[in-house]
This record gives sequence, structure tokens and C-alpha cells, in this order.
Amino acid sequence: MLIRSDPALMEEIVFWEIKRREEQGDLQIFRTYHQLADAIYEEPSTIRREVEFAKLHEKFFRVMGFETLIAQVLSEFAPLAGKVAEVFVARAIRPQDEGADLSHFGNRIGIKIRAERFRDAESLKTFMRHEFYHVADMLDPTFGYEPNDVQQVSSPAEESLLRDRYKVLWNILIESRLRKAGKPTMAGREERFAEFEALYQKLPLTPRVAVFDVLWSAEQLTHRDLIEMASNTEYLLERTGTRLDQGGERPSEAAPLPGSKCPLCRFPSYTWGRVSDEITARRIQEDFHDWSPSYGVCVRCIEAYESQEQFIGR
Amino acid sequence: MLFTRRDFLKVTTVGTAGALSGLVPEGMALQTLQPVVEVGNPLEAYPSRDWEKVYRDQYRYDKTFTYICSPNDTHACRMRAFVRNNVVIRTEQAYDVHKYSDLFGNKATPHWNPRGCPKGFTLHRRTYGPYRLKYPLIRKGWKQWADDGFPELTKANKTKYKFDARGSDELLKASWDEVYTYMAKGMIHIAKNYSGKEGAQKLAQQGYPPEMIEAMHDAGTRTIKCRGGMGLLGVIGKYGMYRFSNMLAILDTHVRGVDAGHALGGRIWSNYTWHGDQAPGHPFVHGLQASDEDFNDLRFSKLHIQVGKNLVENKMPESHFFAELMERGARIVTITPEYSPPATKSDYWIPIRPATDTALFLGITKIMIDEKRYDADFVKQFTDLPLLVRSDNLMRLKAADVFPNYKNQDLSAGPSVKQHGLTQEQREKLGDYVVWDLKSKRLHVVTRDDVGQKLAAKQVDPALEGRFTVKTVDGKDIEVLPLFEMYKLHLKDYDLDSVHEITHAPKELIRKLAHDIATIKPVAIHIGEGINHWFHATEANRAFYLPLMLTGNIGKPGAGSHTWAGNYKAALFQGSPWTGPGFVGWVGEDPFNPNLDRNAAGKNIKVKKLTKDEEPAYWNHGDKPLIVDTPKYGRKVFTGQTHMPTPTKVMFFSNVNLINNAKWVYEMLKNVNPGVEMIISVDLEMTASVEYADFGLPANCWMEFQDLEITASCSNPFLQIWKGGMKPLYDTKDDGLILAELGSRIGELVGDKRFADYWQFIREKNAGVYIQRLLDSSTTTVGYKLNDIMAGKYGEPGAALMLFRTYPRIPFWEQIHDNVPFFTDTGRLNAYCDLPEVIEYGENFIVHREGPEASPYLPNVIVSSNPYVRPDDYGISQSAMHWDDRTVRNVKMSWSETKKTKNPLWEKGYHFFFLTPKSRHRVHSQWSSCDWNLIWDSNFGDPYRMDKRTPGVGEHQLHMNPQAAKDLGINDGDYVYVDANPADRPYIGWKPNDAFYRVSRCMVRVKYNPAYPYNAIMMKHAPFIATERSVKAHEKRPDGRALSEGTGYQANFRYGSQQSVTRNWHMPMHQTDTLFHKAKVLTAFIFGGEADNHALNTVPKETLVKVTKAEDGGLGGRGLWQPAKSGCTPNRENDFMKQYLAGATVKVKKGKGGGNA
Repeated sequence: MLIRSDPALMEEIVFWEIKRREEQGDLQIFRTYHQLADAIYEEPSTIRREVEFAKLHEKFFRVMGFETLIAQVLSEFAPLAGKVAEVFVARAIRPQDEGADLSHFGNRIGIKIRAERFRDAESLKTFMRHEFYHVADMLDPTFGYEPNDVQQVSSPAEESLLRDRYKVLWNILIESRLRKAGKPTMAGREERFAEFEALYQKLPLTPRVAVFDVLWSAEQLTHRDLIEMASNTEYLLERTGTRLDQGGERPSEAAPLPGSKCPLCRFPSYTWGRVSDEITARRIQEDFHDWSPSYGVCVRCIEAYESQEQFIGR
Repeated sequence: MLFTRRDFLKVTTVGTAGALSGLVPEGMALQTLQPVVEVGNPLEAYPSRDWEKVYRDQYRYDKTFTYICSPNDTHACRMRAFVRNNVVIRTEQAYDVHKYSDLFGNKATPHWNPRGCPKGFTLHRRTYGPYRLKYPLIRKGWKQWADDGFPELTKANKTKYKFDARGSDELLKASWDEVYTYMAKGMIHIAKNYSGKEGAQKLAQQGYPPEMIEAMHDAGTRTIKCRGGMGLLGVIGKYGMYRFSNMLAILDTHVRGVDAGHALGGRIWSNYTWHGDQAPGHPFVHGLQASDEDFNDLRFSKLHIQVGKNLVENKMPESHFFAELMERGARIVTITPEYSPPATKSDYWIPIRPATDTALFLGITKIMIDEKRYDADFVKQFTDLPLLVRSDNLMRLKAADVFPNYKNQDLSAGPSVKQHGLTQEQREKLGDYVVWDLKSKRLHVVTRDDVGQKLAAKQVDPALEGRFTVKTVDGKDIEVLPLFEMYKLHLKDYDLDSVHEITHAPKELIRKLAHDIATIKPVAIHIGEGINHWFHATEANRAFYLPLMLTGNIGKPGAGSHTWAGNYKAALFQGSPWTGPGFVGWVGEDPFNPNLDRNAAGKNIKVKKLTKDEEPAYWNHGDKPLIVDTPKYGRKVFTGQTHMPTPTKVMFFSNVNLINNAKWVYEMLKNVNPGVEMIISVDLEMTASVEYADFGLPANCWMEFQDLEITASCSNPFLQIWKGGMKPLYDTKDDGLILAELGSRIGELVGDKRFADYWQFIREKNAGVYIQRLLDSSTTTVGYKLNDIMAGKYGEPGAALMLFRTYPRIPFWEQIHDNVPFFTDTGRLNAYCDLPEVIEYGENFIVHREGPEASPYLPNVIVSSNPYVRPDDYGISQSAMHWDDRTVRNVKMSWSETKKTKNPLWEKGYHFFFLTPKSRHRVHSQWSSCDWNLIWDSNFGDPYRMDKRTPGVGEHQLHMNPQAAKDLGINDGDYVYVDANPADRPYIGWKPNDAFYRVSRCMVRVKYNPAYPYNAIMMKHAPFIATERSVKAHEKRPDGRALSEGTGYQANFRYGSQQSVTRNWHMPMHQTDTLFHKAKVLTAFIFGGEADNHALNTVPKETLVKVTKAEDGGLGGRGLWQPAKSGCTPNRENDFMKQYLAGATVKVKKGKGGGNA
């Protein structure tokens, strides 16, 4: 498996490493680097110069052991060796840009990493391990990854929720397996539970914890499992063998999903309210026979019925 | 921290100088600076240079022509169009103003140059653009109604013929001949249907109040409303609409069988006041429609104050005068809620709570009076402050009250009569006034002519202070006070601490401004829609005059209080007894005796005005006047007789996007317009007004005019006449010709050639005949010959200077220099108003009132403890929240009591003031179709429409304080809803599942803008609204564009518009029958209403809104809007941006001399 890295990334990492060693009193690599780099400055062609610098930094990147780190982590994923021809390590600027993915034809992996991750080898390996696990799942036929899977959603907010839940569930699955293999994880239990909890607020606390505990120890979930669990809370409960009434609490009456459509006006809404009196509720039901207060309603619609009552005498 | 190679190079140099020298041979360093390759002159060997000619010739043109760019921004800039292969390829500023001159050889100053703005530069994109109306259109349902013989429009028939669903009907292509016939038949039918007793009965059954029906005087033609908007932009074609309305009197003779002496024409809708453009308080202060100057005068102020005005983003061709003001060392002060563009140029900016400017200026006035910083002579000679007022009934003391058998003094030889046209009847009604003479220590009579030196010549020294007991002619002892003395008492409520609390303006700046006004001369105050669009603009307008009245800053270069908005000033073509009818000679020529002699002098044109002006604001209020059931008095009519509207059955308008720009537009579409039986929109482009009309008639644009047109301006002295320079691209016509041909068709159908005669010279394409008459008979153009003007005798062909008394034109020059009275009842600048209605409303003194909606406090409360303010609350409870109750309720409270009250709407979370100024990139809604202007107009312009939610290449935006947005969970770039009181907006009776609600709820992007205070948001006004068709397109088209199918209308919103949250308010102070003031276009006076002069001035800013999140701003509705992630936007600044804003990215070394390196 060929490992290639972004020249800009390698340059930044190499500079940092040289500086670090220099600050620690180790000037050897500093001198060696400059002996070679200074000669390149004499190259009159700017294009040629850039090529030479790229080669220099690639050499140092390897000599400093960074490529070995990547290779070590990759070696933990034996199935990849037969399927992937090349891994390209690109430079990410922001945390949200980091991640690994598979090329269109499935034979190349791209992973974007921020340069500062290379300052801590163990942290870097943990990150890469987690990301390569995603890719490994994508190539694993038992996982059943289907990139062209299309889910019907009614709003961008619902789509966002689906994606976020899928992402969190998959992360939990990966970390469960990493822990079983004795490997460190990107996040601890508390952190992952907080992420999970934020996305499943409607579940009462006890089943919520129970579901998470099952997932935190999961080994064999498929892509379809994750999709279904993300879009269908009942399936989540069923798949994890959890009952909604565990613990005796009622399902939360938390507001409908922020950004989902108000059942009355069908506008996406982030401000949901409660209908506080029966008269208003009845008035709404005169116009919307199938509506029930438990469906929720946006604040604007509530005001419409209250205000009309006040000014027009409905 | 990133290490760059450049950083590293520094490290190398410092650390390894020796190493480097060891590697590099001596002299190598210099050699490396030699060019690597020797290159000769590449052009010598270049094979072919013909392409360069193509490149240089891309600006070649075949010919040019000038025309006037004449939208409603007031400038009427002459632009030069460049034509190649018969296509206008660009337009430029003509740069010709320095050549303009008048009959007497006076020339315009070159300082006017250059004139034109980026909007003018993109006109050709509109002209050749895809949104032009290319042929006449008729609505399918309307056509069917006509073909079926105009059956009665019952509720079922309104549905059958889609009068209640115009937005979803089809617009069919038609020929001019067809549309003329249909429209003519429609007008004839409607006039017949609503004439006489039967017509009146039908209208009563439809729910119109008797007062409106009585105002028709049995004439069905009075249901036809005509509006050429803004008429002055094209006196012949646009104001021709008023002539058309006058012509309808001939139709009335056929419909009712009455003779010419009893015939009535249609009604003419206003422009200026309908848009809220007027300063409605101006007629109260000086009696004139408005005070405005030539912008050339702007630069002569030494203290320039902008209040609710933005002379940076508006009046752009004249912005160089603002810059010159700065060069001349004026002090500049801006008073706005937000840190506005003029504020950035100011010496100081006074932040202020919206609509509290009255309180600010009352506070300033109090400081000036308390510290005796006023010009007593000016106050005594030119203001009403020395006039005595009765404390018993709050009326001014009249000479007839105290002098037995008093006869009013003869004014027949004075300026009131000889110059201003005061009639004897009016004179008798006004009477004479009384002062306390300090010299003789007794009462002394002053007439309205006794102003300035004329008063001084009478050796009278009126008292400003004191209280006096006098005996009336019927033996009663009453107390009287000079108004000045009463104001001292009145202003006790406006001490510095209270004013600071009311306005939120810093005390030291209030004091500073008071001292600056008192000590710097000349002072000018410039106001705009930021003031006039509020319910209590009348009070604010009046208040601004107080400090100027105290210091004599009126009628002098660089002085005055001036208001700016649209090009309203029909008064520029002022008629007079010595010149002739002026403007009225065109719009009000006797239709029964039109003068068909092409050489007739303007003075000889007979006038017979058979129309009646009316405010569209009544249509905008459910097509009703202000009638309220009051607990105390029962049914009370607050709309004066001189204002009373008639029912609206035909709306015929041109050059104005009337429906799109209507406040409360969705209420109009849903609940009002189904009652209107014919809507005709004449325009250049497909607009919402055309989509919701029954007829869309395509007009020529300014470059395409086939006949002459004339305009002038309220903000410059230029007379402009022009014709287009290109043939019409489509089946379009000049506005005037459309009117003429439609009028003629009515005549053909009823068999009366007088209709055609009325338009003879337009039909002959000889509008010049009417233009010459206008020039002949107007005081400002008498003596000019059209042929001379077109030959270029006075500068560029078509241009000349209006004959003003001074250049620059300075309002009230004559009053101050020639001792001529102002146009008020007293002949003086009025700080007081003793009209019975005004006393009842509690506004006899200038007083701060909270708005009926836009306030955190009790709606419409009067902030005063003055015993001489005695308002009537009509028994309406303080908790009443109906809009009409809030409108008329008059409750007086001191500030300490007021600040404890609450506005229930504010308490419900509607706590954003909604500011809606004009955009620099559009003129109201014009240019809302032009791609470049749309892209410039907001932060979300994107020619690629990468986010498919965007309605077009541009998208409207809402400016919001970042903290206010964050507190609501709204990110920069998110979509939000802007909602107003659900009881009536976006329309009365809306329900969540109405398909029309989906069209009308305002959804817009938010832009963080820290210039705005927490409770104020801003959206520029008059973009193209969402319509039923555009919303359907937005939701169904794969590309998401809000481009209507069938009409090709391009909306600027996904849903709703800025008018989703505005509404009409019927301000009582604007509807009196008793205000005495100058008529607009005549040297004459009137009592009561006149459109654009003393009439309902609409107030779109009088609204409170809520803002809630709708969708994420990121692409496709996910996450943050991309630019908000850059680290360079407000409240999300990264470290570098924070340093940049703090000025810390550049370190400046001081040199040896102490200066900067």
C-alpha cells in the first residue's frame, strides 16, 4: 500500500519538528536540513525549486518517522491491504475538516489531518485508527455500507438530525470495538453519552442509558442498522432490547425537533410552544381535526388562535 | 503556530551565516540577481496585432443620445446612452450641467457635476432584460366576466371569475385594440353600476359607510381611482393619469345624463403621502407642503444635522455636496438609532430610540430657552410664540374676542392677498391676532402681514413672557399668556434626565447639540423617511423647527429644516393669476372645452377640475375611512369631509408598483382587492402589481419615448425635456399615448368625440403643444419657448434652469428678506395649533407621544403634565388593543407615569423596531429585476445560486444586532421569519393552513450588523414580494428559483415580503378639515385636506415584530452560512480579525522626530 502525503502538510510538520528539536538543544537535524535546503534556494526556476523542496520534506518526513506511524496504524487493518492501493494524507486546516474517506472506486483512502496532530504520536495514532476503522467498515461486506442509500426526509433539519445520529452511532460502534481490542479511543464514555443523549432527548432517561450501554458494547451492527436506528426510535429500542417504559418514566414531552415542520402551518420552526388552555386547543382542532397537543405546534400558530380570540372574537 | 519557509530563512541567516558562506562561492550572491534569460522586445516579434484593435474598439459606438433617467429618487439625471448596431451598450453621466442656464443668463454651478449613479448605469440591462412587458395582457377570468356581460359580482361570481384568486389566474396575451375595448367597456359598466340611488344601495350592501357613498354625489365615475406615479417624473405621461380622471366627467354625462355643470370625473390618488414621504408636520409649521432646498445649498451649512436621513446611501448623485460640506469645515451631527453611514462621517452621532426625536428636540428647546440662547427679535417677528393664547379654551386670542365691534384690518394691498392669493372669505375666517405690547403695556393687534420689519415698523414690542387677565367682549375675565410663556411650562416635562430616559440619547450629547444649534450659524436639519414613516411624524417635524425658530435659522443659505424622499413637487409648475393655470392647465383642463388650437397660450387654457384627490391609504385600510365606535360618543368619524374617500372599484395606475409597495400588501390581495372590479397596471416590467392585475399594459422606458416628456425636481433647479433615442423593442407605447387611446376608445363606444379631442395632440404625437402651455403658464417657466430649449439655447438640448428666486433655491427666502408672511393662519412659523380637532387630540402643543404600536409603553400615550394639553380619550380603555382604538385614544401622562406602563404586544415578545429605509441599489422597487443591482444589494448575492434556496441571483436580508440574534439562537446568515401582530398580519383572518399564508409570511436571511442597537432590525424596503406563482415556482422548480411560471416574474423573497409586517394607520392629525395652508400648485390657500399636502401620510415603520429562526444558513439548510465560518464576520471574529479591528496588525515605529516612520 503506497502512502503519499500532501507536500504542504509534510513541510509544516517537518518545520515544526526541526524547531522542536532545536529548542531541546538538538541541532543536528537543523544543520542537516539546512545544508540540503540552502542549496535548493540557488535553483533559479521557482517550479523546480518547489519540486525539490517537496522531495526534501518528504525525505525528512520519512526520516523523522512520521510515515512509519501512519504505516503502523494501517497495518492494524489487515483487510485493507488487499483492497486499497494507496493512502493519501492531506492537510486539514480546521477540526471539522478532518476525517477519512474512500475514493469513488474504493481503492484509495484519503485522510485529512491537521498538522498539529503529529506533535503527539499516540494521539495521532488514536485518531488515525478511529478514522481508518470507518473506512474499513465501508469496505467490509458484512457492514454493508451503501453510499447511495437515500432516506426520505421532510426538511433539512430532519436530514441534519439523521446524519448526526448516524455519525454518533457509528463512532460509538467503532469505539466499542477498539476498546475490546485494547486500543485507546477518541472519546470516553461520558463524552459519547452526552453526544448520544443530545440527539435522543425524547427517550426517558432510563431507557436512554440502557440503549447507550448496549451500543457501547456493540460489535456487530450494520450500516442498515445504523440508518434505521438513526431514523426510527422504535427500531433503536428493539435492536438494543430496550423497553420504552423501563424505569417507569413517561417519554419526554420535549418540543418537536428544532427545524422540523409545524403540523399546522408546515413552516419549519425552531420555536415550539404549548397550548395552555382548552379553548385554544379546541379552536385549533376545529380547523385541524387530526391534531393533538402532543404533536406540538409552533408559537406563531398558537398566537394566531389566541390573538384572533382576543381581537376578532372567534 | 505555522512555520513558513520565510520564517525559517530568518532563522537560517541568524544561525548559520558561516555555514552559508561555506557553501556559496564569493560573488555568487550578486550573480544570482542577474536576469536568467535575456529577452528582447517581445512586440517586435509578435506575429499579428489585429486583435488589439478589436479590444480597443469594444467601446466604439455609432451614436449617442441623452435622455433623462427619471425614477423616484428626485434627481432626474441626464444620462448619455451609447449605441452600437442599434443596441444601447452602455450609459454614462452626461457631465453637462455647468452649461445649463436660464432666460436671464444665470448659469448652473459646475459643482453639480457629475450626475448619475450605478442604477442609471444598469438601465440598459433592464431595458433589454427578460422581465420586460412585451405586449398587453388581460386576465382570463376578467375577460370571461366581460364576455359574459359583466354579471353582478356576488361572492360566487367573484370566485367563478377569480376576483378572489387573481394570483392564480392566467394572464393572456392581447392586442392593444382588444385591451382598449375591454377596459373601456369595463369602465363604462362600473360607472353605470355604481351611479345613482341603485348604485348607492349596492355599495351600502357591500358594507361601505354612508359617508363614503355620500362623497360620490351619485356619480359612479367616482369609484374609478387613477394614479400616475410619481407624476412629476413625467408630467405628460404620468400626471396625464389625472387628466384621464378629469376626462371621466364626460363619461358621467352619458352615464347619469347630467350636464357639464354637474358632471364628475374620477378620483386621483396621491403619491407623496401614500408613500409616507411627506413631512406631515410641515404644513402645520409654515403652511407649505414641504420645505426642501436645492442640494447646492446643502454645502453652505456650518452645522448640518441629519435626523433619520441617510445622505450617503440616498441622493447619491448629489453626495458630493455632502463631501463638500465636510471640506468647508461644517460640523456634522447624525441622529439615528443605528450607527449609520452618515454617522460614520459625523463629528458626533446621537443614538436614539426610534420615534422619540420629538422628545429630543423638545429637550434641546428647553435648554435653549432656560439658558436664554435665542434671538428674541426673530422670535417676535417671525414666530407665533408672542401671540396670546386663551387658557380657558386653548384657542389663540383673536382681536374680535377682546375689542368690541372689531373689524379685521384690510390686507388687500398686502402680500397675503396680492402675492399669496388669500381670499376675502378666508381672511374673515382667520381674523387677527393679539399680543401684549411691552411698550404700551396693553393688548395690540397683529395681522398675518405684520411680520419681520413690518412688525418692527409698527413700534410694537410683543411680550414673550407673563400672564395677563383680559376681559372678552362678552364680559368674561380670562387669562391669556404668550405662547412662549406656555411653552416654558410645557417643556418642564422635557428636562434633560427625562429626555435621556425617553430617547436613550446621552445627556452630554443632547446638551452639546443644544449649544451647537445656539452658537453655530447657519444650521440645517435634514430629515427623511426615518422620521416621516412613523405615526407621530407630525410632532417630530414640528419639533425640529423649534430650535431653528428660536435662532432664526430659516430662509437663509444653509439654514432650515428640510425633508427628503420622492419627487413630489408638482408645485414646481405653479400656476398664478398673472401666468395662468400652470400644472392644473394640463391635469385639469376643462374636458368640455378643451383648447384645440395648437398655438394657444398657456394662460388661455380653461380649467375645470372635476376630479377629487384621495389617499390610497383608505384603500389600504380595508377601503374605509377612520370611523370608530367610541364608548363616550358612540360612532365617531375621524376622517374629515375634505379627505373622505369613495369606494374603490377601478384602480388604474402607471409607473408605480402600487400593489407590491402597499403596506399590508397581503391584506390588500386577500381581503380588499376582491372588491375591486378592475385593476390596470401600466409598467415596463413584470411586477407583482401586474401579476395581481386584470390588465398589464407595457410602457416605453425612458430611452424609448417616442414623444416629448418633461420633468423637474424638488432637489435641483433643472428643467428637463427629452425624447428617447431608440425605437421601442416590443409592442410598447408611451404612457401618454396609452391614456389618449384608451380615452378615445371610451369615446368611440359612447359615441362622443370629446374624449378624443381631449387628447388631440398626444394622439398626433405632439406632446410639445401641452408642454409649451405648461411652460407658458407656470411661474417658474414663463417665458421659455420649447423650441429654444430643445435647440440647446440653455445648455444641453432639452435642459434649462427653472426660474427660481435664488440659486440655490432657499425655502422662505421671501419671508425673511422681503417680510412676506408664511403660509399659516398667523402668517408666522407656528409652534402651536389651535384647531378644535388638534386640541381634542392633545397635540395643540408639540408633544412627544409613544406610537400606537412601536413602543414598549402604553400605545399612543401623550407624555405631558401640561394643564394646557387637554386630550379626549373618547372613553376608550387603556387596555383596548384594536388598532383603531389605539389610533384614536388620547391619554396624557407624565413621563414618570408613562415609563411604568407596558405595551401588551411588546410584552408578548414583539420587541423589535422594524426600520425599512431605501436601498442605494434600487429606487423603491425599480431595479429589483436587475441582476447586478440584486447582487450588489445584499451579502447574499450570488450569480451562481450555489444555495438553491435563494430565490434568484440576489436575496433580501435583515440586519440584526449580533447579540440580539444570538439570544434568539439565530446565526449569521440563517433564514428567519419576521412576524408582526398575528391579529392582523400578514392579513386579517389568516389561518395556518391557508395556502395564501404560505405565500405571505416573511422569510428572509439575517445579516449580523453591530451598527444596530439590540431592539432595532432593518430591512431595505420595496423589493419584489413573493406571490402565489413565485412561491409555487420556488417550491416546485428543481433549481428552486422564485421565477413565476407563465408570467416570468422574479421575486426577491422565498416567502412573504417586508410588507408582510407593515400596515396602514389612519393618523387623525392628517385628516382635519380645518388646517389652513397653501394649496399645492396654485397661489392660493385652502382649509383642510389635499392629497400629498395635508392628508394621510402612511407610516410603514409603525410596527413591532418578532424574529424567529426558520432554517440554518449553510448550503442546503445545514449548518452555518459559509462566510460566517471565515472568522471575519461580526461576533465570529478570529484572532487575526480581532487584531485587525483593534488596529493591531500593523506596528508603526515612531521616527526620530517623533512622527511615524
